[in-house]
This record gives sequence, C-alpha cells and structure tokens, in this order.
Amino acid sequence: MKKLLALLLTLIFCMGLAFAEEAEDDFLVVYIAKDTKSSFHSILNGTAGPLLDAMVEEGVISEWRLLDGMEDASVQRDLVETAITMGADCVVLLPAEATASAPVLTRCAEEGIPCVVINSMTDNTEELAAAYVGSDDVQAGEMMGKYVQEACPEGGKWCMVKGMTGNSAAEQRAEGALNILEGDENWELMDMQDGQWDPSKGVQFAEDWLQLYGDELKAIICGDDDTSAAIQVAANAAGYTDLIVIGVNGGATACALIADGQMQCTIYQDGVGQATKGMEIVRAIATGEEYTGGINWVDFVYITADNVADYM
Amino acid sequence: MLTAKLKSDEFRIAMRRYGIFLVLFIIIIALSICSPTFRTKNNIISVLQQISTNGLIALGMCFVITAGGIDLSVGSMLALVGVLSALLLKQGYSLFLSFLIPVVLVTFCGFINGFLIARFGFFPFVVTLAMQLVIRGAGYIVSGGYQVPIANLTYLKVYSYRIGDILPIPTLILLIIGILAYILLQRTTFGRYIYAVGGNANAATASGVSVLWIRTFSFVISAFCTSLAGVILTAKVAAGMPNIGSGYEGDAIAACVIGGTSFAGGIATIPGTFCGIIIIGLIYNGMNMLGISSYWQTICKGLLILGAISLDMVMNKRK
Repeated sequence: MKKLLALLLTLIFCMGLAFAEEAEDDFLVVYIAKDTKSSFHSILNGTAGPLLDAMVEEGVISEWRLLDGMEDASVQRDLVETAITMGADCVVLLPAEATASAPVLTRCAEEGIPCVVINSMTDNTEELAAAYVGSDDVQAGEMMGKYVQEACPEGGKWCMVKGMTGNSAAEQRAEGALNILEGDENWELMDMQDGQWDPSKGVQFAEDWLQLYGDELKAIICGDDDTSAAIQVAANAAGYTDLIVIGVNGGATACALIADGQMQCTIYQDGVGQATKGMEIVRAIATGEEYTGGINWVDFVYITADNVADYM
Repeated sequence: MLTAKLKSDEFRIAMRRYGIFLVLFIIIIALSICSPTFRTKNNIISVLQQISTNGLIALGMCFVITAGGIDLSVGSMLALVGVLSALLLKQGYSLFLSFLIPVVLVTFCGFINGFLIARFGFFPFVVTLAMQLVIRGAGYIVSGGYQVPIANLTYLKVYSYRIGDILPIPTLILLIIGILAYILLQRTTFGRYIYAVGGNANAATASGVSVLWIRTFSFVISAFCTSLAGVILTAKVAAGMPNIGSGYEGDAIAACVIGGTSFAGGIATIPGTFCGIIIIGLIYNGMNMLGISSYWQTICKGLLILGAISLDMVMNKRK
C-alpha cells in the first residue's frame, strides 16, 4: 500500500511539472458577480447573461464565465486571479465593497485587462475602470428625501435604515437623503442605523422607533426596498398605515405592496438598464469600437400606484 | 483466515491514514483532465495563495478540535485584526507594531476563550459563539462600522509578493506554520497531551496532564494562527473590514473534518488537515474553472464533509 501511494504521489508531482500552455481563447469575458442570491443582483446577472450568450452566438466573444463573489470582497480578490489565469480579455465587476474590492481593479490594470464596473463603485473606479455603469445613488437618496417632503409637507420625525456601512450605494443614498432633509427645519432626524441590507434587522429597528415615537414618526427612509417593504408591512400591521416608508430598487415585494395600496412609493433602480448598458460597452471593447468610457449614469425612477403596473 | 483478517486490518489502517490523499489525487486528476487551465503554473500558484487564509485558520482549529473543543470566533478575529492593523497604520505606527499589537490582542482573546472553557467547564460552542459577538462588536466600535483603507504598499506585499516570482508569501507562511504545527502536535509531549485530553479528559487528568492548560493553549494556538490569517486577509483586500470573515469558521472546520480530524476529539493529523485545506480550495477553484455554479460548490462541500465522516465511521466500524 505504501509503495502504491508513493507511486501515486510521484505521478501527481510529475503531472505538476507538465504544465499545460495556458488556454488561448479569442475573447473571454469573465463576469465577477457581487452575489447570485440577492433579488436585485439576480436581475443584473439575469440580464447580462443572455446578452453575453448572444455575443457568443454572434462570434463577438468566444466565451464568458460567471464567477460568484458571494458578497465577499476577499472572494472577489481570488476570482480576479482566476480570471487572469483563465486568460480573460475583459472583466465585468460588480463590487461587493467600495474599498476592499478595489484591488480587483488594480489587478486588472496591472494585467492590462479592461474592467467594466457595474452598479456600485470601488474607490479606484474613476481612475482605473474602462467604464462605469450605474445609477447615482446620491440622486436616489435625494429622490427619497423629496418624496417624503412632498408627501408630508408639515414635516415631523424621521429615521433611516441604511444599507451596509461602507458600501457605496448605502453611503450615497444616506448622503442624498440627508442633503434634502437635514436642511429642512420641518424634519427632525431621530436615528440612523445600519440594517446591513437585512430586512429583518430593519423591522427590528422600525418597531423600536415606533415604540419610542409613535405617531410623531412620519417617515422611515431605507437603503433598499426589501427592507422598506418589510417595515411597511410591520408598520401597517401595528396600525401605522400613514407612515411613509420608502426604499430603493423596485423589487417585486415593494411593487406588489404599492399595487395593493399598502405602500406609497419606491425608487426603481434600473438594473436591466445598467446591465444592458454594461454589456454594450463589453461588446464595443470586444469589437474594438468606440464606447463611452468614464461614468455612465442610468436614472432612478419613482414607482407609485400610477405606474407600478409597468414594473411588475 | 487470520492472514485475511490481518490484511483487512492493514488495509483499513492504511485507508484511514492515506485515504484522504487518494481522494485528493483523484480530484486533481479529474480537474486536470476536465480543465486545461486548471493545471497551469499560474493557477496552481494562485490556488496555493488562496488557500493560505483558510489553511492557517484550519491548522489552528485542528488543535482545538483535537483537544475536544470548537472555535466559532475565528471569523470575527479576522475582522478585528484587520481593523486594528489598518487603524494603527493610519495613526502612524510602524509596520512591525501594526502586525504585532493586533496579533497579540487577538491571541489573548483566544486565551480568554480557552480559559473560560477549561476553567469553568462552559461549552466551547456557547463560549466561542458569545465571544464571536463580542469580538465582532469590538471591531465595529473601533472602526465605527467603516472600512479602513490601507495605503502602505509594504503591508500589501504580505499578500501579493512572490519570492522568486513563484512562491507567494502567504503560502510560505502557511508552510512554515504547517511544519511547526506538525512538529508541535505529532512530535512533542504537548501534542501527545492534546490527543490525550481530546481522547479522554478523565484519563488524561488521572495521568497527571493539566487539562486546564492544554485546552487553554489549544485555543491560544487557534487564535494565533487566525491572527496571522487576519494579517494576510487584510493585505489581500487592502483594508481593515469590520464585517469580513463571516462564515470562515465553516470552511476551517470542513477542512479539518475532511482531513480526518474527529469531532469526538483525540484524532487528527496535520498532513490530513493540509489535505482537507487543499481539497476545499480545489473545489472552489476547480468548479470556477469548469463554470459550475457556486450553488453546487456549497453542495459539494457539504457532501464531502458527510463523506469524510461516513468514511471515518466505516473504517473504524463505529456505531
């Protein structure tokens, strides 16, 4: 048995010495997803996938791969090495974190691989990315703030459930909301907490705030609308049907509540638009055509009872 | 009949010792055949670099599990090391102190874990779960919830630099710690005491072994290894992140179990743990190379753990 094992181990080492030539593909696109589980990113991934498949069929690119970042910047850091090993000619990155996913772009730049960043920025996106496609999250925050002002002109107390601290979308949406409401003397910010994109955490905070402030609490602004939908349901169940709860994304749950009259508004983040524009840029890179580098904004849209049917 | 039984026993012992290496060999062969990119030099180096973090945590976890415990706080320790390192650098402390202070502090957290468990008889699961929350919270308080970027290029080279353009520093650290762990666990009296305490604490006590200090030091070793992993991870993502490391204990435990470490305590080998570390790394890397969805990677890892436990039971004919 020991001799057999020694032989097998020797074979392993010999195989290790017989390094293959790195596989050569005409044009390989590696898509490093932030995750494959959240509803919004499923929209992004689900839009990009068929467009990349179409490019393969047309012969624009030879192959593409989706690698799951598992919402972990460290995993994305590993995946960029995998992409480089695979011989990627273009990398599409949906960053998990603004700072910690930045090394992915740095590596792409070191290897001369164009990187298209979609949905949220890293700290070095403007400097190193071939292009960025996303929505201005500060705009989203400001839209939420303006809606709250218009829906409740007399003002009152408000609170915020942010997305994950450090995430660019979370920070910028909070910044936008504060831009509008902090300067408005009718509105008083009572608390801001990190919901970590977790609706259950958001509901917990909201229930405590309702206990503290009751009817004086007029609005809760959320980083995403999975959280705002969950909070609205909880608030309605507790009898606070006038509470304005608003978030961002335009997810199915929020849209269903708006259609049902249980929720007033959400902000639609055009994931389809972001992914489509991103893939247009990838196509242009692959074919050598001109493309719009730098920052490409895709606007947010209000979803209310008037237009919710268009988004369901 | 006696000869046949002896051969059967010999086979079982050999499979118990070397079976996991056979599994590793099969995985390498299969991936090499299915993916030409897998067996390229760059990919192999990349895999060895990627497994370093989990590998260090798993080496430390091996001591804890062998001594009869479990450490669920390793993920949060990674985060605390990262934010402390980054903040110290930002405050102008030297590179040496930015490494040393977090490593010492987190290793002390391991001492607290071990002392609480060994001195007061608390369940390791409960203590380390509680400490996971405390350490994670401490990381958030210290950092304010924000990531702390690291601009010091020398620090970042801890992850990215390759000696002779081949050997990544994290891999070198893993190899060195692995050798030390092997010597400590399998070639010293302390290591024999770890096995004794994990195998039968009462018998170990009766033999004059200090269960208190052996168990405590097993957690100290785990925390030390994790703190080194934390430095590497921080260099990898170029930031101290208070939210990093969630679930990393799962991969470390999986590596130990796949490598033959028994949750009953008293059974483990460092080479086996190394094997488990590499297998976990190959699952992720190989499946990415083959374009297999990450959902299947998770299933595969779970099935591998079940397989390892089942194999262990069959080989030992345990009920």
